[in-house]
Amino acid sequence: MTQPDPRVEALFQKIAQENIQVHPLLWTAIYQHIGDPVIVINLLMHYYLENNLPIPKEEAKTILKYTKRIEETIKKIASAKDIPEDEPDPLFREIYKKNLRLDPLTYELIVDRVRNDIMVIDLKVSRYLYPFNEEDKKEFISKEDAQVVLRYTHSTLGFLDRLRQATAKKEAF
Amino acid sequence: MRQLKILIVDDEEGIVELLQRIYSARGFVVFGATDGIKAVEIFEKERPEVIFIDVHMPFSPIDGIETLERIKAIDKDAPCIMLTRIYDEESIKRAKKAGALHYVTKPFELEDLDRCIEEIKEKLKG
Repeated sequence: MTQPDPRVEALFQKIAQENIQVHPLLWTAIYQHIGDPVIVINLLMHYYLENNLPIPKEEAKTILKYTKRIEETIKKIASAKDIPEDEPDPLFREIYKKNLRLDPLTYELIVDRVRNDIMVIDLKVSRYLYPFNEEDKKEFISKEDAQVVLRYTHSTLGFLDRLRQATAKKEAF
Repeated sequence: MRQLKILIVDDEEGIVELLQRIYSARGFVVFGATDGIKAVEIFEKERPEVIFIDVHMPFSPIDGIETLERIKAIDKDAPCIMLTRIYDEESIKRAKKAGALHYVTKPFELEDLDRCIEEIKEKLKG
């Protein structure tokens, strides 16, 4: 996570070479349903760590609720045809109507970086809810695990900012 | 010394709730609103010294820019910081015209908001 991944760097290079841009509606979806949930997880960990408070294991449910939203969004923005016609969110309905989808390079990057970060966060917290063994049966999320979650949210936020700079259209929408 | 009052306006409930928890724990008096109308009501009543407003609020009856304009109509000196989702020149232009103090690009880090608060605190001291 801390070392630049050559595969990711190559994808960014390709995006720049091919001048790939992401449609503003897709960016809105990324901000709203990936960026915002990551901010919430980040702030949640900040709150407990900054105040040196024990983190009740129930907060793992909160985190998983947001990571699920991120996962679903990644699926939706990969291919408009996957968005059901009865989709309640007007933003996704519009994306569906316009048949918008992420280009394969940007999608690959998002899967590579965001989904991996989210998977680590999921694994870190889900064992508090679904313990693998006796040792995992704890009432509070450890500070070490909270630090890991926080680190991965920083990683995702940094990645999204870089991707925005690499692909966002400059005009207003 | 009296602590600053902060108003957070964002249609993502989790963000509002957690920023309220974080800044309250630091001793600030924090108000939250998930829509622009409620934000203007709180502003009118509480007169917070720092206001963060999300520009893009699809689930709010009025968007962030209109919220800013309505707050500025009540108090033209209200220090409003806009949270923008994209390099949206039109919104930034409108926000500047309406008198926004700063803008912070989303997704933000807590430190970005801390810096804005510190700057306003310094200005108020001076």
